[in-house]
Amino acid sequence: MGLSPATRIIAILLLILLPAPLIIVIGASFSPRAVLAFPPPGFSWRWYLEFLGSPAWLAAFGQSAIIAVVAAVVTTVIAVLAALALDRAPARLRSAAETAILAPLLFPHAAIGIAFLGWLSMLELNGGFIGVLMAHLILCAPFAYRPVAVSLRQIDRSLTEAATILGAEPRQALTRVVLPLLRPGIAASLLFSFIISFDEVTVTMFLIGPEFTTLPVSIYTHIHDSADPVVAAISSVLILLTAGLVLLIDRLVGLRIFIDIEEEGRQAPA
Amino acid sequence: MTMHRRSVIAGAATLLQAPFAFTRARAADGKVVMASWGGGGARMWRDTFAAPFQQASGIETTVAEVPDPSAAIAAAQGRPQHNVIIAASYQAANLSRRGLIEDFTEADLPSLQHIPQQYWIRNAEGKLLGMPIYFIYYGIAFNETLAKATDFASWNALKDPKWRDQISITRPLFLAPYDLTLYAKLNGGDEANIQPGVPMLEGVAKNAISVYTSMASLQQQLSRGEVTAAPFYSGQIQMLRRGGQSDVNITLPREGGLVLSYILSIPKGAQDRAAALSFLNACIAPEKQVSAAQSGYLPLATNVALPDALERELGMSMADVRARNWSPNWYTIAADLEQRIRLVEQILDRAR
Repeated sequence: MGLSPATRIIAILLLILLPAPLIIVIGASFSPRAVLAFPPPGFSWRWYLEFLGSPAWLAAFGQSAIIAVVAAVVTTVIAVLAALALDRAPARLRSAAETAILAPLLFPHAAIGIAFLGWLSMLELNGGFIGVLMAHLILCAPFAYRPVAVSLRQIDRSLTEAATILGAEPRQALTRVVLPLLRPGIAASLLFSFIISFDEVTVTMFLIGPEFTTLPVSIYTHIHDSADPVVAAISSVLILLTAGLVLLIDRLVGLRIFIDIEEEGRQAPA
Repeated sequence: MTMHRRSVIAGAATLLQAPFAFTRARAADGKVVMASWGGGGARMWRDTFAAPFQQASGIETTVAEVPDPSAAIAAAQGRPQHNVIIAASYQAANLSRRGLIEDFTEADLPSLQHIPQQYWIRNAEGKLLGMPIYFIYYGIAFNETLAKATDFASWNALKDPKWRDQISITRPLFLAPYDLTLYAKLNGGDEANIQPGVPMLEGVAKNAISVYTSMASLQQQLSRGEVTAAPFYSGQIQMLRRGGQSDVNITLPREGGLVLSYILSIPKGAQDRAAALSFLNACIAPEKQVSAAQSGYLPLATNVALPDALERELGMSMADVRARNWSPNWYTIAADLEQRIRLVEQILDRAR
């Protein structure tokens, strides 16, 4: 079935408009002047050199990446355990537990930040890796749990029963039947948790310390004082890294894993 | 897979205990940990003050960037992670009124002798709130393709209807201590009697098309010609021009401007007060003040001679800058800061 001319025009416009912000950011990052401008009045690597030559910026980037990876892995593990536990739970218990897990979505992040600040200050954990990680685990939990829970519900229970009937122990049924079929949900959970954690600024701003900060908070702090294009250079580097990561994931596991939850749920593992 | 109830409870109890296992000691003694705004200011503090101090004294000195140093101390509620902060004078006065920063005698701050007393910030008991470190002046920044310096020969020009929807103003948080105070002074009032400044602020607000939320925001608006002029900080424009943005400039109207002084303070409850105090006194060294002036932060100390090139860039001598700009009593301003901010918010509402 061919597309109508109007649909083609809309599709082309979308293809042009969607990457436009990326093109503008990348273009502005090469400006030789100290303010963001597009098109840039010249060409300079100045702001890339400033970012890549700054221990403070690189430390913030590294700390953000480490927090995001750890938060993604830990929340995904917790999400899988929670989803498995609640899958067979009574409906009321499951509903109450899911409400608690999704609760961070209901509160303003500033309120969550203030609450964490008070609690972590009391524990003398404020300003460090552990405090920020604890906050990120709570914030990522809803985004980790949902895809895993949805993926789990779409697994045909007869597959697990068949494995049990054929002699598999519960642990074997879990590791050799359920978890492989959960791969799309686990992959989505890891990805969403990583993104949420890496981009998080509102709550984290309350919890950073002299020896620990994250890249988004450093960017926010920087743009309060300076409108220079170093932020555009950092964004361009992140765009490049993201594109590389997407290509790597596609090469290793395929991108279908993130969208084919229903189809994976119906197929038995090899 | 079956989860036994006891396993779940045991696991939950373990998780709840985990934070206590990681409780760490607070910042060790023998360090200076300074809270500063980010961007070029933080870089200047690292290069000009922290690194030389660490080299000379052997005291490990860190400059930590935060969105707002005074807010970081207020949020710490007596458990500060930093033992030095840089703050605008009115912010330090506000923290002092809330009992969140230390106070000092002149004996604690021997380097203060180089700074004229009009710039010292004292509390109600006459104690000093810290080391006044440098200042910038509040003038009228403008886009040179849309206006000339002579268009703003007086602060009253900002109320001129010809600048309707071409002015930007700052947020009430800064409008109250800075603009309202200055306008009060220009109209027969002062930092205690601000009512004479209200009609002028309302007039300026009527011409405002935007309320800028950060330095970067106004830099962008001025550079792109989205606004023609705004009351702004001299150092910001100096650095913008240095960075190649020659379309923006700043002028000091004939009535003069405002001395926006900054102060180094020590939060109450901070560790290693001795190292922090040593840092405060070391920052007034003339060579460091000259270096800071290169970044747009002008010396309050009178034992500092700026290079001729820098004074040419300023457009006037340091003696002229000090003479033409007024330094109010920031402690008086901080006394009812919240009420002033609410008043300014009402003024802005009326102006819209």
